[in-house]
Amino acid sequence: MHPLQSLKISISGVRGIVGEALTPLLLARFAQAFGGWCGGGGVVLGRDTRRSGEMACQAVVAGLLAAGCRVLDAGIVPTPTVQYNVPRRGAAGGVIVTASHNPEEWNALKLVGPDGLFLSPLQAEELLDIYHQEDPPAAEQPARHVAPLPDAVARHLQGVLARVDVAAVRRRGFRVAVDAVNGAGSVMNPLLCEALGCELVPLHMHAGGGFPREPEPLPEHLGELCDLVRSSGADLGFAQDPDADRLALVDEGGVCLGGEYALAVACRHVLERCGGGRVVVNLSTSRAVDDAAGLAGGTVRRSKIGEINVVLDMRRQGAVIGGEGNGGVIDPALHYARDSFAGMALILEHLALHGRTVTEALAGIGRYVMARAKLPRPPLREVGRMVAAVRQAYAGRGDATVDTRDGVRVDLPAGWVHLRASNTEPILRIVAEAAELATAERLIAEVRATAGV
Amino acid sequence: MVSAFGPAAAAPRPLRISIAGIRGAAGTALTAELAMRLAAAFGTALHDDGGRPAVLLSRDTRPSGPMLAAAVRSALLAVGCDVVDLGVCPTPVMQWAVSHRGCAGGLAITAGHGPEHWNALKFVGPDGVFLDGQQGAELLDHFHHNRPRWAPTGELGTLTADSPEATQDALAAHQTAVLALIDRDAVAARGLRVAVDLANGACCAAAAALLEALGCHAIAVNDEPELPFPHAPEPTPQTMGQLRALVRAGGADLGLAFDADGDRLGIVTDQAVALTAAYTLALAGRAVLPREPGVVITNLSTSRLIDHVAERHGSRVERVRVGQSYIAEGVHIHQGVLGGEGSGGVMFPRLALAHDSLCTAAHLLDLLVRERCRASDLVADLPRYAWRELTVNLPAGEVVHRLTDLRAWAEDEVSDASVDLTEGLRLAWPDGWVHVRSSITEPAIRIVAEADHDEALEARLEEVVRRVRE
Repeated sequence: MHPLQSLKISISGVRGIVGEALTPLLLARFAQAFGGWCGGGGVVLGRDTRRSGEMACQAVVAGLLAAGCRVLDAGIVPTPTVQYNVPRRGAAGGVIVTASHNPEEWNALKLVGPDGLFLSPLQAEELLDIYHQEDPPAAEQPARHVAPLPDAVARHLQGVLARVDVAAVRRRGFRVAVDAVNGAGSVMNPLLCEALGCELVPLHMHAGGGFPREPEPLPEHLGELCDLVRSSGADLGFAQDPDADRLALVDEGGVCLGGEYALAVACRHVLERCGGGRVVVNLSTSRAVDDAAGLAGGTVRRSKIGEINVVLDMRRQGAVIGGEGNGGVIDPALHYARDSFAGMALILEHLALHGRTVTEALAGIGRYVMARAKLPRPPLREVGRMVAAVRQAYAGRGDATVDTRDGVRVDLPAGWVHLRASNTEPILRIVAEAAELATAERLIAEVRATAGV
Repeated sequence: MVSAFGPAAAAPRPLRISIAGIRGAAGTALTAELAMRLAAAFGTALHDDGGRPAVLLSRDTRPSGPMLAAAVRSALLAVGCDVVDLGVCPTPVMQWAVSHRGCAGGLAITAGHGPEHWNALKFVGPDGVFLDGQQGAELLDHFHHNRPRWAPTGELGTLTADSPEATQDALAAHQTAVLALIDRDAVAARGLRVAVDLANGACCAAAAALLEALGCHAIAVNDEPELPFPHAPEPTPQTMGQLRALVRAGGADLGLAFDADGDRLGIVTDQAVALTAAYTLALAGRAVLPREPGVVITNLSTSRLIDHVAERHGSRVERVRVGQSYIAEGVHIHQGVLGGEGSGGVMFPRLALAHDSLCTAAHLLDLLVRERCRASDLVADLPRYAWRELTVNLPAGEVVHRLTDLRAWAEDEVSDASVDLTEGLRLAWPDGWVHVRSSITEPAIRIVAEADHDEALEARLEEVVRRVRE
């Protein structure tokens, strides 16, 4: 395999294929650099359920102790659980061992600063500087303290529940089907459902043992959940990725609406509660969010792709809700993190307070279809040329809006199309959205022709 | 007596990687990365024997232990070894468990008697014995080749750690095996008073359990494994002051000093006299040889006290290089009934080929009861030899030249002594010996001498030291 396809060290952290580029040596060294960046103190550690998690966590513990950091080991917990706990434990940082929605043979480190946010690009550059020094930062004496953090999930759950009208949700007595892909969400879903008085219809809810489906919660991977919603008569269904930051939504008829509509309902709900406000979502997020904001008197701003970019824009613009269309709901009053539990709680509260079904909650919000193309990434110089060509071709058109902050996104009356180089994989992504699949596919074809790819 | 000569006392080298494993200043020289690379080499080597290897881990109470344990665990898991981590546990207990659980190997994280901020990795084969020279060399080949057999996700090892039950099981099984070697009931019936200094090391729990099983009234100091070492974790008369006071104040029948990881034992008599560590092997010989005469294996730098005991009980002594793995190898080759070193480490082949302070303690208590005597009586019965140890510091690079010249001189010119070139140079006369060898921790030559009388010792030592220094 080409080396670029088995390892990526970037401002998003380190990720790679276990047994190839991602060795315990590399993980420990990266963790030690992070421990140095933290400057000692406590670091909250969590992981998802992939089989390499134990090995990777031990390597991270070695690196953190060598840098003089105490380790607060939360074990198998969702990514947002670590993010929630870091500032509330006075920790200097957090590490989550997870390759998120990537296949089981991958693993990665997600790194959290003392404020519970992922490292900003500037902070991450600082970390990479430390990592690239010949000698990793070593404490004169390695730290020795590794303490379990058994109530990490309970604390996070309290925070989530404090954001919603628990009594109202309990009165509705929802039946909720949840597919946790045997990931870290498995440890928290039953607690959330119990607290909200929901009857949980669990699917793949064992923490560990391998992923039973493709781990990315895309509609095409969630057939089992859709069947289960229908057969169990559930009011709705939710699906998570292995580290439970992302959330997909299935309606009461067993139709998978994916992450875009989970975000749209959450946005509508929070904007209605606040009487309007600012929403920040990324450039590849559906117009469903714009429709939802329109219904609730909110305004939408778009940011570059990547959780930290969305979060930083949300903070700058005082957004009341935001996220990424692939299923990451960020409720800033809880914390600046994509949090599937926050998303579930907000959606359930919306249905409960308004007495709606999922379909009713989406009334007035357009139904859009996305088309995606994933191409081998050309040299970066070429990507720049493509962006320029697309910008030039559409900039003169009166019906087009062009945004070049992250690749190039073109908005047209019939839909939009976004072309960019992935931050995490050596690929070129093109996403288009329209009311009809054929239209979206046509937009992709047009952009490919213009870009010459 | 210990003294140092030499131009500039060179600083100890902070790291040593050898067939005996890796040791160094933890965190700075012995880094997480080095520990991982060596553990990965070990796991890779274990795969050469086929199957899915299981490895036992133990560590002493040094503060760098948790960091190195995490590093070692991750590396072993990553090369597809299953890992059972016994946590803080005496090294000989881990060694015993390796052989009795059918593990492929074991790894001890301990710098033994070294300074607290040092640490080391020591490797054990499937027989529970430290790797011998050939196995150690093979491990180093893997390390230097630096191509660990990283396993894909589906073949990673599984970890059993932080399981007090697993550690408790290992301790209990080991204790049962130790007690089977002695007359437990007779010892328990005597109700001996025993003072112990655990040095806040790995034997805190195991020693307390053993003394309880032997019906002893234990008076313990430094039995808190979370605290730093109260003194150098080596049972020498210099470190046993507190134990002497404890014996005196408590009217104890015996004082026992454990080291950090449980291989060495030091003794204080009922008269509150701290014995040099050479007495540990001699008294173990008194316990074992009358009932089971045979060959005793010791090293070239160990006192002739053991020769004296062996002779009295129809046994003989074979000498090998310094180091536990050489003793084990010697016991194996000569079918030895006892092995041990002047450092206070003694191995009982009926139990295992491992220096074992717990088993040594059990045998000493058994001896006192069986012979119905006091420790001071046993010591009074042994000869007293003149003894000197010294270190000559040399410019780096000079050590080998001086040793080579000295060995040539001995072969060509010394006629009144037998010459042994097994390790450095050992000259032996009917009434004593001198052993000259290279230090393993610093550019220096170590000289140890023993004789029946001071005059002979001084004369021999003077000549050797002069030749080493010129």
